[in-house]
Amino acid sequence: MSTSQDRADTPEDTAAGTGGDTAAATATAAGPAGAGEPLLEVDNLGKHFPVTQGIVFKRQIGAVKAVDGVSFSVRKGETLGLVGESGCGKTTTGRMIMRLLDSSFGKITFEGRDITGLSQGQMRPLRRDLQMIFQDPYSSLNPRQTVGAIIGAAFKLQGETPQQGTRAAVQELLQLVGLSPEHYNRYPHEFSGGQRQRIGIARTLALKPKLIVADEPVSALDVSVQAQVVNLLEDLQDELGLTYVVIAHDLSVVRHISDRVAVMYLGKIVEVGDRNDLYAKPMHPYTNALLSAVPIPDPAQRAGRERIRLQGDVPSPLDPPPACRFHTRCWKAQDICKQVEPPLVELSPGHQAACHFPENTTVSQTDLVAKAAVSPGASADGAADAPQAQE
Amino acid sequence: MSLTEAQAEVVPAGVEPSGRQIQGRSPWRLAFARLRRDRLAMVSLTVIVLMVLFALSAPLWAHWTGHSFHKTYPKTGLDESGQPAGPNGEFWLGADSIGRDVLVRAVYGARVSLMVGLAATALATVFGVVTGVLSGFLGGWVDTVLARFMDIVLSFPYVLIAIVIATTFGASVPMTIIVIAFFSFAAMARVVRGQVLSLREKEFIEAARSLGAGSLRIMAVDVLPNLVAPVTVLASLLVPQAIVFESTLSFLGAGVDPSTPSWGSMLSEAQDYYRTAWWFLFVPAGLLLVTTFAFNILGDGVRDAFDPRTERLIHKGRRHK
Repeated sequence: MSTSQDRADTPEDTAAGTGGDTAAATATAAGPAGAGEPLLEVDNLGKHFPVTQGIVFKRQIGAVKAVDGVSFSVRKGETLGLVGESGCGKTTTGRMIMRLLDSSFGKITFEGRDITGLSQGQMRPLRRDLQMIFQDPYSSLNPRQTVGAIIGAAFKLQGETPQQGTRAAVQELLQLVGLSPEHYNRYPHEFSGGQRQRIGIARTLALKPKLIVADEPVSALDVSVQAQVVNLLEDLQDELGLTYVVIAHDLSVVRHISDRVAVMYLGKIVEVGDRNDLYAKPMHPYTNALLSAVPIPDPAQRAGRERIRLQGDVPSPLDPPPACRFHTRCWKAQDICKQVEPPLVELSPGHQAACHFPENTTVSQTDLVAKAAVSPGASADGAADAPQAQE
Repeated sequence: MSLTEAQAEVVPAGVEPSGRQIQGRSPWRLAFARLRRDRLAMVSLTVIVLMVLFALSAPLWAHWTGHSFHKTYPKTGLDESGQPAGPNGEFWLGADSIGRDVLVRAVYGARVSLMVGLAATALATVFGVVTGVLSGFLGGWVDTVLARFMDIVLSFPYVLIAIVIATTFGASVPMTIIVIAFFSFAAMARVVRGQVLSLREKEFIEAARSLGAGSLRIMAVDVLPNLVAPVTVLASLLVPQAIVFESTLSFLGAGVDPSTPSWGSMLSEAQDYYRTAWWFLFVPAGLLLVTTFAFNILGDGVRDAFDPRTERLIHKGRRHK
C-alpha cells in the first residue's frame, strides 16, 4: 500500500478536485493533538432519502435529509466520537463512510484517495483497511454459521490465506478479543450478548484494518459488559494502532473512548472539539443541553448544576427548520438564527461550533454575525474561511 | 489487563473437563433433535415411509394377486347381475364397477399421487425460492414485477384454469405436475420474499458486504441457509395440498389421463357405487386421508422443531413425567 501512503502525505493533490475540501484539512491542522496525518476526511457529505408516493408509478414527494452536509477528519491513531440524538444521522454517516450506503453529495477521502464514487468491486480491496463494528450483536452474526466460518469469511472474501492457516488465525483472533479458541466450532446462539460483540470485533480485526467505524458498539450490552468491550476496544487500539470513528448516543461512553468529539443535530455537525475541551466548555447550546442531561452521581455536585430542559421534539428531517436547525428549541435564538445559517467555525484552537451566540468563548457575537453575513453560503465554506479571517 | 480479566472469565466456560474439541450444535441439528422427540411426527414419518414403500412395491402386489392394474376381470370380479365383487380371496380389497382389482389400482394410484405430490412440491419450491429471493433481495422494479406476478397467480381460479389447460393440452402426469407447481409456487415465493425482506435488513448482511462480499455470495451464503427452516416447513405442508390438488383434478377428469389409476380418478368412478360397493370408495379415500394427514402432522412437527420456543415445552413435559 505504499502508493496510498505517499498520496496520503500530500492531501492537496486530492483536494484539488473540489473547492470546499479545505474545510476538513483546516480542521485537522488546527487540532490540538497535532501528530498524525488525516486518515479519513469527510467533506460536505450528505444523504437525502427520497420519499415516494404511489404503488406502481412512484413519484417523489420529498426527501428525508438524514445527513445534510457534514465535514470532519480523523487522524491516524485517534478516536473521533460522533454523538447525537436518535435520528440525527450518526449511523447514516457511518454507513456512508463504509460505502454501505451511497451518499447523495459530498466527498469521502480515505488515505488521500477519493472513495466516494468507487463501485462495490473497486471498494473490495479497500475493505481490508476499512471495517465496521455493528450495533446489534444479535443481528450482526449469521445464525447458521459457526464462529469459525463467520470470522474466517474475512480471509475467504479477501482471498487471503494467513501464514499459520485460517483456523489458527481465527483462533488467535478469538484469543485477542478474550474468547477461547475452543469456541471455533460453536454457533452464535450459544453465546451471550457481550461474547457475540467480541466475535463481531474479532471479525472486524481479521484483516488488520486501519480505520474502524464502530456504530453504537456497546449500546446493546449490559452496563457491566459495556465497560469490558470499551476497554477491549481501547486496548486493541494501543496494541494494533487502530483509528476509530465511534458512533454513540451515550455521552459518558464517548467521553471515555474519544480523543475528539463531534456533536450532530438533525443531519449537521454543530460542534467539534477536543474531548476535555468540549465536555468542560461546550460552546453550542445544544451540546450544553445534552451535557446537562448526563446524570451526576454525586448529589453535592448535582445541587449546583443548572439542568437545561429542551422544549418540544426534534423537528422532522423531512422539513428541517431553515438557517440554524436548532433555533426552534434554542433559548438563545434571535431573528438571525432563523435567517442565516451559522457556519461551523473555529472559536478556540481545535474547537469548532456552528452558533451565532456561542457560550464559553471570548469571540464576540457581533464578530461572528458580521462574518456570517459576509459568507452566508454553505457551512463548509464558512468553516474554511473563518479560521483564516481570525489569523 | 482487561484482556486477561476477560479471558479468565470466559475461558473456563468454553473448555470441557475432558479437554476435547467442542463441536457446536447447528440450528439445523437442534431442530432435527427436537423433531425426533416429537412422537406424533415420528409416527407420521413412519406412515409416509410405509406409503412410499407401498407405492414402490406396486408390481409385487400385481404379481401376488395375479391382477394387472388396467385389465378387467368380468368373470371373477363381477357377479351375475353385474355388481362388483366385495373383498374376497381373489380380490383382496374387492373389485370395481368394471371388474378391476381395487387393491392393485390403489397401489398404482399411490405411485401417481405421491409422485405428483412430491414432484410438484419440489418444482414449486425451487421456483418459489428463486423468485422469492430475487424479488426480496434485489428489490426495485424486479420486486415490483415479481410480486405482482405472484399476486396474479394467487388470484387465479386455479381449478377452472387447470380444467381449461387439461382440455386444451390433454391430461397427463407431467402436465398435472406443472399445473400444480405453477399454482403452488406463488405461495412459496411470497413466504420466501417476506423472509428475505427481513433478512436483508440484518446486520450480518451488511457485515458480509463490508468484508467485500458480492450480492450473489450474500444470497447463497448468508440468505439461503437462513431460509431452510421456513422453506422446509412450507414444503412439508405443500405436499398434502398437492396430493389433494391432484386428486381433485383427477376427480374432475382434468388430472392424469383416465387410463392411469389415481386415487382421484378412482374416487370419481366410485361415486355412483358407494351404496352397493363401499370398498370401491373407501380404499382410495382412506389412503388419501391417511397420507395427507400424515404429511400435515409431519409438517406441523417440522414447524415446531424449528421454533426454539417449543423446546422448553418439550423439556417441561419431560420433567413432569
